[in-house]
Amino acid sequence: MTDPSKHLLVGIDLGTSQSSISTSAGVRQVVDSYVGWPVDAVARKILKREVLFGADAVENRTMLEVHRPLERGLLKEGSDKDQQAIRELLSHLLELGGAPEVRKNGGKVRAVVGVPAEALRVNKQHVREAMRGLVDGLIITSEPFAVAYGLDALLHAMVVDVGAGTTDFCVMKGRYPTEEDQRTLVNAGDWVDDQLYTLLGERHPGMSVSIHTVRGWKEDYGFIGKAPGKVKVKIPVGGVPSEIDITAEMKEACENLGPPVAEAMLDLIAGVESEYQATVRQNVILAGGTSKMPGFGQYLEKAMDRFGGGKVKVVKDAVYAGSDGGLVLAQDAPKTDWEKLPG
Amino acid sequence: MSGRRRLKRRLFEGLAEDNLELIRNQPRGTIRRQRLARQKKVRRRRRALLAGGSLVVVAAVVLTLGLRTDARADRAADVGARPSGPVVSTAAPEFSTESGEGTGLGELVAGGQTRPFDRGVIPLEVRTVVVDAGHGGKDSGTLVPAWELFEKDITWDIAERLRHLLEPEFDVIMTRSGDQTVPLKERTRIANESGADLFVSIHVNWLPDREARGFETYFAGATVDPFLEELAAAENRDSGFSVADTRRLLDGIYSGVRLDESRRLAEWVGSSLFDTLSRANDEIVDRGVMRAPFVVLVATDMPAVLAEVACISNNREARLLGLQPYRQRIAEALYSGIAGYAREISASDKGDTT
Repeated sequence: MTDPSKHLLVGIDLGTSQSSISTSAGVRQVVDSYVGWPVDAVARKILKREVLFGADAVENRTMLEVHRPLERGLLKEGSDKDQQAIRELLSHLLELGGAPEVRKNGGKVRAVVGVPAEALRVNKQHVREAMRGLVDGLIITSEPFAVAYGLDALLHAMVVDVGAGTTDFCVMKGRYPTEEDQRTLVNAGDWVDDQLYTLLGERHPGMSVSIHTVRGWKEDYGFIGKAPGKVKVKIPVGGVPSEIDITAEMKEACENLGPPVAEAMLDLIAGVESEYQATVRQNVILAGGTSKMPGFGQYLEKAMDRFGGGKVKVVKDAVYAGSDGGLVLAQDAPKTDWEKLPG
Repeated sequence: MSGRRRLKRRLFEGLAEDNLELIRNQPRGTIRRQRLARQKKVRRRRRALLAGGSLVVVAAVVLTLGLRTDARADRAADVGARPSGPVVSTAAPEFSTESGEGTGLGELVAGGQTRPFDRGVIPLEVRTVVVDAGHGGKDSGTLVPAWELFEKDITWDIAERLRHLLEPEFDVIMTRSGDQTVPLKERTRIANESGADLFVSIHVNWLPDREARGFETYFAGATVDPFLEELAAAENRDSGFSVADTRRLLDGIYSGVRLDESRRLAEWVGSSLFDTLSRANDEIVDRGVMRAPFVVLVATDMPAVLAEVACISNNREARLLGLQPYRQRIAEALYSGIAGYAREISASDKGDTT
């Protein structure tokens, strides 16, 4: 008797580096979280577009005013352009998910948007404001909670979501996580990029690469623990293309991420009632783009050894774990909740 | 309700509160604190009411309802019976004055306003259940050609199984007695004229998304005011009204009651469908308890639910529907939901609200 073709449920993971959308119509899309506007009339004429997104924006960045509205995992404040960028990004994601079409045909679009665990109230309100008029129902939730819900890890489990801008922690205690159940660190993928960029600059003073290139190397070759092999890259040093071995710098930069993450994880587990701590340690879920880094899970397992041991499961589909979780939340949310929470 | 469902409900409660606080710009935890404070206040008032001079007011209300109890044999057949004006207006100002805040039974009935209330106001019991097998006759409902499954046949089979399960405990009325075309209006007439206490309509879903699966439970609408529910519930017990009597007696004042009861019944049925079917179908999805303006829900006088027990458009569920044991499980789930609801009513009648 229902006609779901008229309605669309969506889960959105608004990430620093990438943002993804999963819809009840089976659409899954991901875009790099960059928004760019042509700097002048000439650029507009060349690009033939008013606004560019993701990799497209990065590629054409010389002709664009590029914004990464979720730098450090939080919506930047005080800039109208960043506000506009977040709305454009959300609007673009919804368009990729087919939302405008559904609304045009009289259907309703209801969205669950994941934000960093400790996102400030004002950031959440910015997201709500940015979504105004784009959807008919909106629930904003903590990103690691969405991941946990999507993986059905509702009780005695912990999600460690290592993204680009933030590392979010959420321990599931059978209630909607409170502030004491969650934590956000700015030690995450971007932080590793900065570390690597600095180390390379120090050790190869003549090196000329952008932070985007360094990020790419980390994504391709980053590791913790034993190196899978030598990391050799080609870069211009003093104007001369050279192949350099950056294995040591890569190892150091990536491994710097381990201690703060392990410390926060153990600290949160220590806050769980003692009888459940062992269960939580056996149910640590490592999510987020940076979770793909080889050796990260083992590092966290090793950190739990002296507390009785633990097990870390790395999510298979890190790119969509957040948006898929958001979608499951949207599907399970009681209709009465949607009625109370308009878009 | 299974632990898993309870857990999810709790999670969503927190999620919704968190978002509402964001919209209202309230500090986190405000809604929860307010709820707890209100519950505490209600308990305090209840104690004060039971102990103090306000019993005079309570007596007036009880007397009002008591008079109706005495007259119920005469009035039960009077479907349109409504409380008379003077009775309502007598109780209202006295109670409002006592409470000092204008909240309570006085406000509940003032000016003939419709308000939600707790079923404990008038104890209820379920005696008669109407089982409505969706579609029938010329109206086949949905169809899966590959398995030659018609919705009307599935609903009839489940309805018959449900009838067998219910009959030892309840009087059961079927809205059709075989493969007949019965208009919706006729179905509601059968239910209303029989003075039944519950109406359960059985349907099978068809969804354009072939991957979609699971069941849905519908009721016509709901409103809740916990303060008024608790306050009124404390004062009126052992009146012996049935659900249908209550509906007739209180129609003008408490139009929310049937809808609220429908929601409770829908929750029982939905929860039971999940608990029972998840044992046989690990991919079962509870698509939710929802409100919808279906004629059989709106035009019936008693608490009414419509269960879309499976998605025939989903190949796996269509196959399952073809299996007798699975249809039996659905019937058992519906029975268990109805019986659970009836037991809950009976428990609240005896003052056991746990």
